Amino acid sequence: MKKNINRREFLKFASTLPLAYYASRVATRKLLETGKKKNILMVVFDAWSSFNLPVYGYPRNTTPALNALADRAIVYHNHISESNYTTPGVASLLTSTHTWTHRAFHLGTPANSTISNNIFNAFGNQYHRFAYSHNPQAVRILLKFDKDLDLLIPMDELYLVDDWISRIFKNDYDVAGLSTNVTYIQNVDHNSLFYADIFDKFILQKREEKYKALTEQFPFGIPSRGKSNYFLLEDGIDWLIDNLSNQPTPYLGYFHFLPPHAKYTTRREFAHIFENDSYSPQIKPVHLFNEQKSDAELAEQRMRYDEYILYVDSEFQRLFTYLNQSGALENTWVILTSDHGEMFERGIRGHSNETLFEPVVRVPLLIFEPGNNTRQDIYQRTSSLDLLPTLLHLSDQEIPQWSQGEILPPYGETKPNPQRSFYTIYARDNSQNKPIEKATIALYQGSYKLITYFGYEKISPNEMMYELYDLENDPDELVDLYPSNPTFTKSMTEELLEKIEEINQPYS
Amino acid sequence: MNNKISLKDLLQLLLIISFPIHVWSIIQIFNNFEWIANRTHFSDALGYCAYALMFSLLDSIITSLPASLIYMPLIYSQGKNKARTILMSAYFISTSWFIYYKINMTKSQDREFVWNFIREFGGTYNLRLRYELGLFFLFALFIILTIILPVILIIKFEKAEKIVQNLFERIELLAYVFIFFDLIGVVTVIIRNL
Repeated sequence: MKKNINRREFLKFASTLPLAYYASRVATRKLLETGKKKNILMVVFDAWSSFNLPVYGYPRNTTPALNALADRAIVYHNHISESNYTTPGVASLLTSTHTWTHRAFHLGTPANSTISNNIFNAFGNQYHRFAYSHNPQAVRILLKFDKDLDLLIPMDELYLVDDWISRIFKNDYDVAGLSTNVTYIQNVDHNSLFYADIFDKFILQKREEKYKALTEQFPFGIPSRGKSNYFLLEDGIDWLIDNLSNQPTPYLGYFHFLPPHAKYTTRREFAHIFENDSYSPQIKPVHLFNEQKSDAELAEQRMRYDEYILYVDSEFQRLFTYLNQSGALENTWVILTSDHGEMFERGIRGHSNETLFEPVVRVPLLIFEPGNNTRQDIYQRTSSLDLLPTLLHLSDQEIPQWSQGEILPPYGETKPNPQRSFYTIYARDNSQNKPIEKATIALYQGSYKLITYFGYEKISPNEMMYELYDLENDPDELVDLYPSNPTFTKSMTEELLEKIEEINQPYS
Repeated sequence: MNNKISLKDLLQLLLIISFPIHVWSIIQIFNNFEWIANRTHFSDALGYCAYALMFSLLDSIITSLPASLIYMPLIYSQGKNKARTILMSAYFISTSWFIYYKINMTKSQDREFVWNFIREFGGTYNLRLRYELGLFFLFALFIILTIILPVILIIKFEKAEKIVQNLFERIELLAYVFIFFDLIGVVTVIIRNL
């Protein structure tokens, strides 16, 4: 029997609606807190090569703390980044897509058509999603994902100095950053004819005076981005220690800290620690794309880098101790990784060079599983694209179609495919809307790695140069097998050429 | 002779001052437009132009302030027109040299070249550096002469003054266009940041 609701009854019912809404919100939150969903904390240290970590066999003890912590982690020994510099490295990490899909090239951001394909969107609003990066290249990408983030901590909040560009032009940081005080970015000079240089000198002098006391703690200079954008890693770790417990749960946090990215300015207690030690780096042949760095210079820089890693290690230990003591580790996945590596060989220092040798693409990956106290070593090759589907899988979430990664071992339901092809790419000078015409692409198949260089003036624009290494028998990539032309080279070369054709096809 | 500075005089000063500053901006825009458009999309490259123009306007206004201070006493010794012609000639030539320096420094790996050179000269002067320093001072003398000689010509010869004045009149017209685009740039920057 149909009964009409009178005005009084309707008002009574309406008055209970806000209460019902609030109760449902609280109930949902409680359900999530007590349910299967755990927190996820991704900690990324920039330009951190796995080749400089004892946990992967490096002779120098650059990470005494991590060596011990690794006993509670899943340690991935052959984890490769998508690229050898931040923009595509971070974009692929956060989108689980290759560079040719997201198309974030030099100082760029993922193409507008792909920006909803990201980890924060994939986790959805059941998770509290927050992020921070010291690195403006990663900030540019995070800003693109802003609508999928509940909290994007402003970059200068964890710097010692005020970044006036990100403050004044906060809604247009990407382009404003390119157009203003951009000495950090080598390609663009100041737009201002007279005052930018003077302003820089003035600011630099003022900052040096203000933070003079800190130089006691940092004998090689205060950690900084560019000349004088000082920061302390301690402040970043303190932010996490002070604020993690206040974040709504479950959460997905992405924290991207600049060390051990150059300049290598370690804390006093770690300075000079490796001077005169017995380690002597292997001398490798100078490469065509070398930067004319001498072996002595490279050895010196490597030592400073290694000392800087000690600083990273000490600060990560502080964070880990807090997570452990606060009980957060019991319900939090902690992911420790990097966006790309760093190299000190073949006349090249750093990263973002035309080469894709292992030290610049192989990065650490350690997964600390909630409540786990045993170590597991994974030797299969894995990719930075695999993190997103793995984390979604571990959180009982659906893996989106656009993800180009696979679930990391040991979490996948099937064994990893030994025939899987892996790629890394350096394609800095390409257009988002045109075919990739100038790049270095490495294809991994089994223990072999085929590298092709094309579009460079040094090798004639219409030619392709190849290198082939057997990583199992020649992990230092010293013997180029390509000239001897083993039988399988042809099929690998064909696959690589087909891939290049396939990725360029939509833009041709 | 009326030696009081009017608003029109200051505007003329601003227009002429803004010219080389905008030339620098245009060089920068041409250098960077294509890769910024390729990096993401065309609208970002236009945004880049807007910032470049906005900073040019800011540079022009700031530079006009000390120029006005020099202009005032010069008017009393040379008269309004000649004072402006002298001041702006010296400004134009020195700014051209500065742009030349900036272009070379942009190309150079050592972007701190001049600062380092001066620091080194102050700190570690030695015989080894004598030849380079000699060349440096010769070059500096040449630059100073290129600035002073036209000023002397303007003071001594009315015809030279007239030629330069005519040139500045044309530059003023062009600078109006620059200022108009600057204002569009400012509006664009505001819209992008809303």
